[in-house]
Amino acid sequence: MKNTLFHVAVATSMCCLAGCSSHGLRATEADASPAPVDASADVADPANLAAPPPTQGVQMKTDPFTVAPGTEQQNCYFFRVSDLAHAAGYPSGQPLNVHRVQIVQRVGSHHMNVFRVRTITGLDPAKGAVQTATNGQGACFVSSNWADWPLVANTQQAGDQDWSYPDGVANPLNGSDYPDEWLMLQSHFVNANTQTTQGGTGQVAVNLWTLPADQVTAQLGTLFATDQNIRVCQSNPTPTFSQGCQFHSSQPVTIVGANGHFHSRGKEFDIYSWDGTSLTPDLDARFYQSLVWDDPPMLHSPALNVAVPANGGIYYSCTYDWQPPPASIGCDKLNTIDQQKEQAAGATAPADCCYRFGPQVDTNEHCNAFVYYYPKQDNVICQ
Amino acid sequence: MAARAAVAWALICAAACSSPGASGPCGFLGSTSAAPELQLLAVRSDTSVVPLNDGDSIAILTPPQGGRVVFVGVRATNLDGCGVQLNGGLVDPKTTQVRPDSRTVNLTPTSDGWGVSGSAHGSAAGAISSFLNIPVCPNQWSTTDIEGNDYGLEVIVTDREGRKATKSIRVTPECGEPANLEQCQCLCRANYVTSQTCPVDGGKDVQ
Repeated sequence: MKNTLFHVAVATSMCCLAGCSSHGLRATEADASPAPVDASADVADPANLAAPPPTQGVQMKTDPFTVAPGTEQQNCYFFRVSDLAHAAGYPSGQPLNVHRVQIVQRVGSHHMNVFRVRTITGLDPAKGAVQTATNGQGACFVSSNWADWPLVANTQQAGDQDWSYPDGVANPLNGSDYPDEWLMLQSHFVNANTQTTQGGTGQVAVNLWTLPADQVTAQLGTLFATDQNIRVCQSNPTPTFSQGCQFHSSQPVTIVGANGHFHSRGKEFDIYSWDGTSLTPDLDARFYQSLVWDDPPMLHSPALNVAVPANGGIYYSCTYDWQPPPASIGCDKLNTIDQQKEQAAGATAPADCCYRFGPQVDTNEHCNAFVYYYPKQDNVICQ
Repeated sequence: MAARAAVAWALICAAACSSPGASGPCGFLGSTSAAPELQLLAVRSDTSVVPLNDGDSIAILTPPQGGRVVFVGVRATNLDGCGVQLNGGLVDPKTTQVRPDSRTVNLTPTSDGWGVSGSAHGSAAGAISSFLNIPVCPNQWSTTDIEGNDYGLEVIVTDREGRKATKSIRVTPECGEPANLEQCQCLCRANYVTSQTCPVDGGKDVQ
């Protein structure tokens, strides 16, 4: 995924003249007349990703933004779905049945997630279409701010993802349950010790292609699981942490997309199909493995098509290899972070140079599983 | 919520129990020729660690990561105490559904050839990460209230050489933080749904 070039085969476009390429909603205020696209254009550059033709999809594209040396930049971009739909020529009041996702990022991206905005806490689209955060400071870095926001799409590293869901499967936006919803595109670029941003500039573009309502036979569901209970310490340097998520469903579900996410101490990320009743999964049920923390595979249909039994789910494991922090950080800083986490819970902690769950690549670790499945279930239990 | 938790969270095994590559006494516990033995431990709200036997109650507590868990540790011998993998889960006896947790820990050697989660003197203070954090509430998974009902508890201990011991007992989870009793009971009630509002603080002391 790092540097793969993806060349557009379709010579149609409606997008982003120079004056409309900026962040947020303006990204879709485009000329509706199709414009030819150079078929050899490098679509590994998000600037070159053409928007879908009118009424076939919507586009979200950020402005290029600076990621200064030594920094981690995490920006949250808000898009109102009805505005995206209007700009793309859709009739009002209709859901967008997302069936195909294209994501392109510049090299240096640590992750890109799109969420559906739900409970407003520290992140509010009313506060601006673009809300930036640097080096762990700012609301866009605080995961509790999107704790109940369902995942729509994600990718990691330089994105060149182009995935069509199985026939008839779609993820409806602005549906009857949320007829006027917002999306939040979160982009995290790193230009520091463990990752660097090419040219010091980040940018992301996402196309959400749709399916006519009469062709939709099943809703896509998504699962974003985080094991926030991890601690990777010097005295216990090769730990494995595992948890399970259960689809509370009397019917089987089919997993069609998956990827795992951790930081540079991460050595192996495994995801298994799980029956929901076993303490450990059947090792033969593993359907995902990542051995490269900064270039984790994104598996998706048709290659990935895993049946999960009724009331079953997934079981995911993260294995780490503790490494000393860069000299510019040192154990003292990790111990400070550790201590702050403990104090927030009313406790103290002796120093053990531990990496704790958190968003910053150089100082924190993650154990996050992204899973896409159908049919959608209302009760998915990840604890 | 987390700030009100009575458990004093802290780190595990500072210098006393280190893994390969680090100095310290961490190593084999007991006899290499004997089968591994395993006993279960539980953490109380005052951070004390107590033996956990069949039919005992176990405290439901608030972990740093949120939600509600039961903290389950082990006392074990005849295995390598460094890098021990703990797998454990609470089992709904009616549906056999399980809520699992798994983690790698170092067991703290005691003077009798055994090793324990937590400190050698029976405290989880400074060592809570050496206990399984088994998620039990919010209760979106069990058909009965978690609190006050019998559940199965299964634990597997596996050392780096593959020595393994297992233990299955019945336990009765009880909300263990008086200051958050009503909230805990609400979160642990059968058929809890995500959007449900629970009281922030019941303020009742039942113990």
